[in-house]
Amino acid sequence: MAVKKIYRPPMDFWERIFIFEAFRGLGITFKHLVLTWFKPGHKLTYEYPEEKRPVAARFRGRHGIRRRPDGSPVCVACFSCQTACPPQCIRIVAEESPDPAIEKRPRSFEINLVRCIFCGMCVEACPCDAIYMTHEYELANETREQLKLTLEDLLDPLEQER
Amino acid sequence: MPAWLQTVLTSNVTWAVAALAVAYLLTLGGIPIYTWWERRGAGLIQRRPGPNRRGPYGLIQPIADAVKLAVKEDVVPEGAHGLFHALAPMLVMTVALTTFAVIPWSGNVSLFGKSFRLQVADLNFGLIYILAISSIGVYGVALAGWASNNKYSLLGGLRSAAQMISYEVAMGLAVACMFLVFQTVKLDQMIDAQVGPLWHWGVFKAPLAFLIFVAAAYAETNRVPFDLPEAESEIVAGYHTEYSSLRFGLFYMGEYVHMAITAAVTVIVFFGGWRLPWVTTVGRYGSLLPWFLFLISIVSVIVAWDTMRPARRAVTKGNILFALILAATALVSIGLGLFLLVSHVPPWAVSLSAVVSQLLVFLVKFIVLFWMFIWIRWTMPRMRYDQLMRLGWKVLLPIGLANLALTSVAVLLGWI
Repeated sequence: MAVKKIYRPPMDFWERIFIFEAFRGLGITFKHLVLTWFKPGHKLTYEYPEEKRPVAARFRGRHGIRRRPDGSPVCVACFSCQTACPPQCIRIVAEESPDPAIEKRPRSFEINLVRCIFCGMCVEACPCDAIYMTHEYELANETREQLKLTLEDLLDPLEQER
Repeated sequence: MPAWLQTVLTSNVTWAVAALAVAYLLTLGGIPIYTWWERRGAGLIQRRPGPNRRGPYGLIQPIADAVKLAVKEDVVPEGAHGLFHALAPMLVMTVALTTFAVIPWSGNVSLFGKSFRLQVADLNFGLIYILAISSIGVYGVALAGWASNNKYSLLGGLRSAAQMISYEVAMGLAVACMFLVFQTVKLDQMIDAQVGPLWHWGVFKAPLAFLIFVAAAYAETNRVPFDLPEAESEIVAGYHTEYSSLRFGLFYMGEYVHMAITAAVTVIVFFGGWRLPWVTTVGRYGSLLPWFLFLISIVSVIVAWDTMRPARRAVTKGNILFALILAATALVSIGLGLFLLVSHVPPWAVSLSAVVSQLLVFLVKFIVLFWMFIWIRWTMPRMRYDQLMRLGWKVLLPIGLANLALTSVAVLLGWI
């Protein structure tokens, strides 16, 4: 086992008598006190419910499903996400799409957030870029049933609702 | 003025009760404020807000804490000595409270031919009484450590006993130096000795004794950097590991009361007590009161404005109430101050306003000294046990002895 020597600079006389260094330390803490009280950006914490911590652009929160310009979901019920999902929390029921250009659409699209591990594999797997991860992370709920998100929960809000 | 009011004002009982009221306000009444203050100060120093949810500025928080402490289960560990386990926190708290009896909150004022002072007990060995009584507090701590049947408690109690005894020596030397400087042991006479210009204050007459006294006082109150008896990283919580509910609360409150008494004694011995520099006569203190009242109203208005400023959270009813109380305080102080300024004030009212303004001066100094406790706590790291003992016996004791010798020479030669 190699010995690692840490260089500690020797204290000079003024540091060794301690009292002046103590007052310097008091000055440092007082500076932080004044700055925390008066300068908005100095505080290191967030007062959570009112003040939300900014999340990274790639943050993986609750899922969302994009809409086409006409308001219908982009999803074509290809089951890629359901296949890719490691904890198998996605359940899709497909049906025929009325649009002749599109083959299928989801009749129901259910994500069980109790099982979801927020890995983002479904987003990777989606060929249509329909599913994505929102930045919403306040997902607490009272029952397991409420944590099963349906297509309506997942779809982006319509333009007029925004 | 009616005769009954004169009887009341010139009764010794009234003055004793008033002094008691001040003492209780600063100890039991002050503890919620002190704990809130400590936590807010800690928060701001550590770049976080501290408790700011319950009530304006989080001022209701300590009441919630007190309720929590009171309704918790009072656990007595198996094998603990029941009597001593119960006695220890009482001893700590009682001793800390008792010391407040001799603090003079104001100077002598004459009222209808009699002389009065806001002081509960005018003992002729004032400061020695405080030293003697507060040393009994170590029994409480040591007893708590021993009676808990817990090795961490025992270690904490032993450390506390060793530490308090070691630092009592240094403290005694610093206080003896001040006895020499002031030629008295009575607290009110010490304050009288500091009359006149600023450099007559004890801290300028004997700065070294001040530093020794403060270091020893911090060790006596078990505060950082000398809080080894309750070092949480080493011995859990030291002597109060096995205490819960209000018994723990007594220890906790006893610590704050002890801090308050230390701050009060420091104000009296080193910072001129209720005296302002250069202000000598009672009449001058009386005429200063309107200006103090105007200062109070300005501060209240600023705080009230800050309370009503919608920051991140909406302004609640509590905030509005708090701001209204502050606004009322400001109005009353301005009105009273203007009244005192413009009207012809009879001599008894001058005496009473002198008492109030002296009390206010004392309180401001007290607040500064108390803040030093909090400030130092969140600045300094805790000392190691050997460092503590080295500081006590090999640094403070020799310096204190040398200081005592030098001071006595200086006093003999008439330099101080």
